[in-house]
Amino acid sequence: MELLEKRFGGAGDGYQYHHIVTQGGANDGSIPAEQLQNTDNIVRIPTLLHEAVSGEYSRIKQGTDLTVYEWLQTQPYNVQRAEGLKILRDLNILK
Amino acid sequence: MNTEDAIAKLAEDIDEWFEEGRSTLAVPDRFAHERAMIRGMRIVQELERLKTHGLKALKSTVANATSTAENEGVPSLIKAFVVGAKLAAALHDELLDTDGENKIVRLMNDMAAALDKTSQGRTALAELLDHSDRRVRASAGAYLLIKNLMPDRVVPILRAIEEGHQGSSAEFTAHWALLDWELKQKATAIDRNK
Repeated sequence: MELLEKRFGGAGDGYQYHHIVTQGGANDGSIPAEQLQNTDNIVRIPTLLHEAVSGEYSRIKQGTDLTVYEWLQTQPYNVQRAEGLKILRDLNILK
Repeated sequence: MNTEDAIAKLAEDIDEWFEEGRSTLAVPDRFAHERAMIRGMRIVQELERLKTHGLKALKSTVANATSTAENEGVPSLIKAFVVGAKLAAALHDELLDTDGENKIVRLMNDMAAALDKTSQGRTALAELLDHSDRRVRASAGAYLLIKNLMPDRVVPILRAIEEGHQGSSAEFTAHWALLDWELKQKATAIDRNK
């Protein structure tokens, strides 16, 4: 995120950068940084909507002890990306 | 009031609250909406009360079921599961209370684990696949499918819920359960063909 802000600047007042395939957690060791910190993987969205997105990732997937964030990170990149985009579409952030 | 009665009362309270809230918002009347806003505060307070009461009652049910003789606790666990499924969904869909929802889901995990220790196992949840409430059907299906139990029956039920496109917790539960199951099926098929 620091590199992103150095290159493109901050997201701006009331906005935050969102990673479609999430950063941190298990992804830090399994997905190359250049794939995560890439403009294909980052969108700028209003902070309020980013909180709604984070809320979806924080929900526990029923039948497991894992949150959506943790469970998705056990899956391959293409699944994580497809589901990351689906979450944005479900919240009407993407068409 | 014993735990079982408390859970039955809680289930009635959730159903009543859900139906009242839905019908109020459906009325295209400004005054009705103003009244709904005022009532909204009471609804939030009521749901907070239900959450506190529900967590206590559900915890107690799990504790009692695990300490009673095998299978005796199954009916209580099934009733508690119904309450849990409705309450977890209502907390998220009406209050966006993810923390509260997660607490209830962890208790539902405990209920499923308690059922696993009985001779019937968690297939006891199958009776809920025909429940009138889609939130209950979605949760029962998810807990069965995670163990690959009765997929021929569960998958069509979850697909029908997922295709509702209402953005509700029932769809969320159905979607992630189906995705997990489908990915496992693909992985198994690949392993078999190696």
